[in-house]
Amino acid sequence: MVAIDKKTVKKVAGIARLNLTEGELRRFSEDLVSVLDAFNVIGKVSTKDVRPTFQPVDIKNVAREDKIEPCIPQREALANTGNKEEGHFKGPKVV
Amino acid sequence: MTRTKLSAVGFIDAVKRGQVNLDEFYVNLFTELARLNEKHNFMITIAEGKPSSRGGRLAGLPVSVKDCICTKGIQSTAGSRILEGYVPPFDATCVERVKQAGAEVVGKTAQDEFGFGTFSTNCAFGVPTNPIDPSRSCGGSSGGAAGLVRAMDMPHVAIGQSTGGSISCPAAFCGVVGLTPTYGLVSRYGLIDYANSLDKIGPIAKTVEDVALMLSVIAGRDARDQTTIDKKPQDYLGALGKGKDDLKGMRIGIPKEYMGGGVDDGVRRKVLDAVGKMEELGARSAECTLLNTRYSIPAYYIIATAEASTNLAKFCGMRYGAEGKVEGEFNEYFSKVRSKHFGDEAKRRILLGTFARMAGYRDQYYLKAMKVRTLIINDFKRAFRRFDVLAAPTMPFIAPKFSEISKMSPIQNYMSDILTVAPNMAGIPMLSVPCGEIRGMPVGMHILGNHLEEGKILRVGKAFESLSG
Repeated sequence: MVAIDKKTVKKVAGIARLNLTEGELRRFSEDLVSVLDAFNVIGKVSTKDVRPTFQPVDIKNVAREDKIEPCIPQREALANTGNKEEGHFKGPKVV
Repeated sequence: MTRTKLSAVGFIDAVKRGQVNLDEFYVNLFTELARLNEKHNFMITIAEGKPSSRGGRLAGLPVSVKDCICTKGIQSTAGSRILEGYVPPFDATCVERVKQAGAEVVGKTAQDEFGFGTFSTNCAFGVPTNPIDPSRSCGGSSGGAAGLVRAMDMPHVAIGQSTGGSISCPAAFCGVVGLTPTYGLVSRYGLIDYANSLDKIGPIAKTVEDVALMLSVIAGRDARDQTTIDKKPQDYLGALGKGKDDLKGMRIGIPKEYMGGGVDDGVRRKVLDAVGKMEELGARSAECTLLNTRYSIPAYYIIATAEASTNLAKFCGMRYGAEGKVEGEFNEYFSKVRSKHFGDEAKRRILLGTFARMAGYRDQYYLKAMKVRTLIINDFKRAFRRFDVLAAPTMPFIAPKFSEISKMSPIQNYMSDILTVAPNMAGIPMLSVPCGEIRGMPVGMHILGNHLEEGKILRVGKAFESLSG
């Protein structure tokens, strides 16, 4: 099993879009080391030929009826943000 | 107006008979809510109002809703700063159903941020304190809900939510009844998700009857949640027995792994005494085994945090919730808003979950945990071939003091969930009922049932409740 270090935690934080302070990086790295150390025990369980369970109750082929339903009006959809312009959400630059 | 001490079932009956002055009742109720909130922080938002009619299955009943469940026109933050000020334009299905049944939503209850906690100490808007001893925790993450149910001497039912034990734990610590239904029995539409394959919405109330009534209203298929089970609506309240007779011939399994070293001696004794009392009325008990229990904490936390880290990706300072001045490129902006507004435990779980599903580690952690989950489910299936229900302590100890909790490391914190995460991962229904006290603090007994056997565990719970008076 893997040992996690500060460098890895920094990389993970980047993927998760979190800027960590030096203090946070140190603290979370220590936490993750001890948590993963305890969690590595599952590596010992034999799971040969065991299928993963992604959902505990088996349900198959659920589809809703294909009909038009009312949806939230634009005004309400925009009501929870200050960052909007001309009826659209305003976001940061992507390209 | 003296009808305030009734159970929810009794109150609704009195409302329908025209014996309750609802105007007066609701004035008193909001005075009481404000008073309790001042003292205990049970609620993030109190929503004053009163029901417009006296009809429906929940006629006139005050209902509180955990803050992670969306309520139209009432702020819903899931206990997080990143959703401060978010006012949903729609109701969650369970909220819509209770309103249609004549109930009134009176406010939103305090919780750990996104459900990330066992003690309701990871709260952005004030930590709820135990109504029996305010130096102790209410339990988590539906802490405000259970605390309020216990403290308020007026008819009321709380809607809580559980991912790994967040209904049972606070119900046990506050000495009230909490039901976590089978995964998929109650629609999750409108729930601010923690972990999609684990989240369940369920009631917390003072009596088994009140819990059964609420389940009858909120359960059932919903076209807006494709994981809901297609099952004919049931009247769980009507199906409850008269009480004690229901125990005759009931086969109760006691998982030996749930009575082990980590469980406080006093708690273990209380649960065994409770089972003994049920045996006097015709139940039969025997030890059983859930072999993979020791792997349940890692498997649960890996699955839950992996799912949470993807769910929380949508909170990025756009469309709703906390936001900043839109500037810079999108990664910089998202990271800035997220880093500022997520709490410590949210950051910790996002990091753990992101790591567990990263290329190179995914098979070793995430996929492995999903396979261990299969083994855990098989343990329960085997047990339910021999037994009708399983009984165990809900939590290994009574509600701890805040001074004790602050000394716990993250891993010690996670280990506290050892008795609740496996049934939650298996998606089986569970009921926590009070079964005695230690030094004045309540002990909870967990009654676990097979998938969709809510009726059975409620009957056992009711029988036990009538027995303990």
